[in-house]
Amino acid sequence: MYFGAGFRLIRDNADKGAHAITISSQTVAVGDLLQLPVGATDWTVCTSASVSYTRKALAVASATSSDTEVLAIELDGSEDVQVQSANASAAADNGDRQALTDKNTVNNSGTDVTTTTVGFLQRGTIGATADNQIWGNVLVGNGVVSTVT
Amino acid sequence: MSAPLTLAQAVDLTDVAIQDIYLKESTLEKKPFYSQYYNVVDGVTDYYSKDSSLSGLGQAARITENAVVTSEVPVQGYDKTYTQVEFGKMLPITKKMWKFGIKKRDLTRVVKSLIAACERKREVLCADRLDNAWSTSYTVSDDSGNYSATISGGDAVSIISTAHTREDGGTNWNNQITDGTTVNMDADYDALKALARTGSLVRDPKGNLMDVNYDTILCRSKSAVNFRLREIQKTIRVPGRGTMPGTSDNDAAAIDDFNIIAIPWITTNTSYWFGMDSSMKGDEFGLQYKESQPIQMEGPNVVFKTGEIQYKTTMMFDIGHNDSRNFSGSKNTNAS
Repeated sequence: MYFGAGFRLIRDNADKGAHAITISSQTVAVGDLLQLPVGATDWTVCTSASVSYTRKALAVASATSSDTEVLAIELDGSEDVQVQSANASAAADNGDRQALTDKNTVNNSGTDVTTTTVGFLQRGTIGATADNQIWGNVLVGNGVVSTVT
Repeated sequence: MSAPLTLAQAVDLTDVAIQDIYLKESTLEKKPFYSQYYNVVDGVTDYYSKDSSLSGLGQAARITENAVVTSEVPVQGYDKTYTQVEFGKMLPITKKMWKFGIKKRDLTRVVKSLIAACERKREVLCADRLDNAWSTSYTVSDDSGNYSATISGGDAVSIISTAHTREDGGTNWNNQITDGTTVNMDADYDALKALARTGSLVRDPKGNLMDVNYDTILCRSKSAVNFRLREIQKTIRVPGRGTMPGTSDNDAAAIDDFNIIAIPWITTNTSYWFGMDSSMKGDEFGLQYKESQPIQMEGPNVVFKTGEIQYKTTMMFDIGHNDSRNFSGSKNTNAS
């Protein structure tokens, strides 16, 4: 199994493949989650403030701040993704919507997040609880600002 | 399916400044352990396979003068259903990584790791049944996501229990190692005598004593239990006359020689130890491994759109037990 930080596709029925997406002044590592902010043309790495309704992509190559593009797989939300959790994994959190901690970690706070500042839906745990690994779906939108508050 | 191995994830493979790239992987799974304590049945063709049993009879009864002879009928045993489960793993590699990394470095044998991954999973799942022998279910740690597995026997209790329900409704039988006072005895000379005693008290579905002879002991490899058992084993094997382990007197050992199966795949409850009557290992008693598909590797599959190379291994089996009368176990806690 995988350990450590980052998002990793464990099942993708579409075999989508990767392509280059545009970035500006971003430091990206393999497994980082990127977002396309509303109205923007460049992708940025996700943060704890990332919202559920933006486009998302998973970096499969690294990039430095001087790079203008990075190789990534654009997600449509149906992929099963493994990710590092900020806290010990808990099966009791399955079904919870969770905010991101940063670009490579999900904040499994133990409660379902009902605001739009949320990025992941936990569906299961992987390995021992102390491994801090969970799986689920990245919350992806079409860029339209959600009215859910 | 999943994100393939890319050049960025293993840049050393395309770094011309690095002359040698080695594959590093455990080979522990190449020596199979599961078949030493599981009854292996292959060629299963049914998704569900279910077994049951019929008991024998008890003892004959006295017939007084001109009386009608007393009759008795067997009782039906418990059912156990084995449902085939598929396990597998896929190795996806990008076309560029395959061409410039894997093939260039002569590392194509990395795909054989898929077979090893299945072998490992099988060993772990089999050993998990001992690791959780006092439970009726446990959480399987799985790369695809953890899940709960039910591991009770036909009598709906755990493999090791003080309260196995007897088929005829008689007194429950026990296979937790005890000398009558202390239970879950720590692996030592007195515990081995208790193990023999525990086996001597196991009764069949009609309440007849079976005198189960636990000739094999299973434990975690290189644990304190394993080392103590090896000390005892060598002591009682002293040529001419085995002496009593752990004492300075010259009394002979009262226990018979035994075999040790030291299993490296028991990872959580490493002090648990078990007695097994190897002569009873078969379809009727003990842990069962029922296989409908051995490990098979498929590939390469090339994803037309991306050129990604995919290899896959799968296997299908189920494991479990209906009747654990040939097993006995201790948590090594020496509780009274």
